[in-house]
Amino acid sequence: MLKELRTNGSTTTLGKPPKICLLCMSFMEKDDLKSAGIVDHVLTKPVRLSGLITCFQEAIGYQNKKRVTQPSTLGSLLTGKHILVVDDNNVNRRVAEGALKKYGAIVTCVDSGKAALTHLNPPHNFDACFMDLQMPEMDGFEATRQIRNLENKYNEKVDSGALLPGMSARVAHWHTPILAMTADVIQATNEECMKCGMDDYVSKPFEKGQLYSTVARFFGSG
Amino acid sequence: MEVGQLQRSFVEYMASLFREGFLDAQFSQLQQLQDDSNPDFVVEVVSLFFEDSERLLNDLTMALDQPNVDFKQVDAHVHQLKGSSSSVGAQRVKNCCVPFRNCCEEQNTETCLRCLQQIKQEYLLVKNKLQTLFELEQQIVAAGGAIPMVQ
Repeated sequence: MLKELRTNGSTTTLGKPPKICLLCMSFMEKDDLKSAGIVDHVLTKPVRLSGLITCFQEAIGYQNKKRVTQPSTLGSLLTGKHILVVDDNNVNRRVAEGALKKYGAIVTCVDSGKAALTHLNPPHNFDACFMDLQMPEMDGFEATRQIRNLENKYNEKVDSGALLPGMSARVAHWHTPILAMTADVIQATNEECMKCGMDDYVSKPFEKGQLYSTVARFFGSG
Repeated sequence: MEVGQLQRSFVEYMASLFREGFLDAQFSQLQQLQDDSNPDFVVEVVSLFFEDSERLLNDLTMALDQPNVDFKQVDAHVHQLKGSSSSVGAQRVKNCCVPFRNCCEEQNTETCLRCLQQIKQEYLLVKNKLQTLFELEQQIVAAGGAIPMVQ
């Protein structure tokens, strides 16, 4: 009967032959019928709502254009970013640099708190700083305190009109993200870090997942 | 020795280093950071580690040889050693550092010296193992093979 309907080419008012959807009992029948071109779709009984929906979607040519959002990666967050790494240990510096460079960051390494001050005195080009906590002469806490001091002074001058923002106009308010690097997470108590003006901390050596979630906070996710 | 055999030896040797705790996951991380733009990364970092460690071990020997030991200074050296061994994945060396620091806190020269002895031993062991590993790599490359990626 179905074969006759098809060949007779009956049409709807839209001029197109109606889609025929058959209900059948078994999966085996389903494939035979569909491949024979006699029917357009087959639903196996018992009919389920999801099956019905898929059937109609296919019938009216609905294409599931669900956009797959690319999960952002460390690469997408760090590529092209200028990062300052501060650590008095040269092995640690080299490893941190290697890891960050792998994700496309542009890395500068210094070996002391004092050197960090020189590099992070506004205006500068750094997007973020990874700072070791335990260093001789000037530790990470003290270096951060002094950097925030420099930034505050600079911001005051810009606000008061004494300084023209000029090239640094891209930054309305200087606050370079400073992330503590520590092997001893207990030592880096959030309180202590926050008090001196640090933004967060990461474990040393870097752990990919933690690095990602910390960095994402400052550079957005994609 | 033909390439296949060399590669198999390499893989087995690497696996044994992890199994016996000489190296930990951080060493694998270093291997993953090595690529075409950074082809000698692991050897570079490990060489830095050797230089650094030998200097620190010498400094420790001197510091503990003083009539009045400056334990703060000793502790600072051990802290450095802990950091660098941790960064390269030299697990056994790193693990020696914690008890060493405790001995510094107790200001006990005797136990500190014992810790130093142990850490020297572990350092020499891992140095030897890593040098053997790098030699194997060189042999593979010389024989025209590629260094197998070990997960």
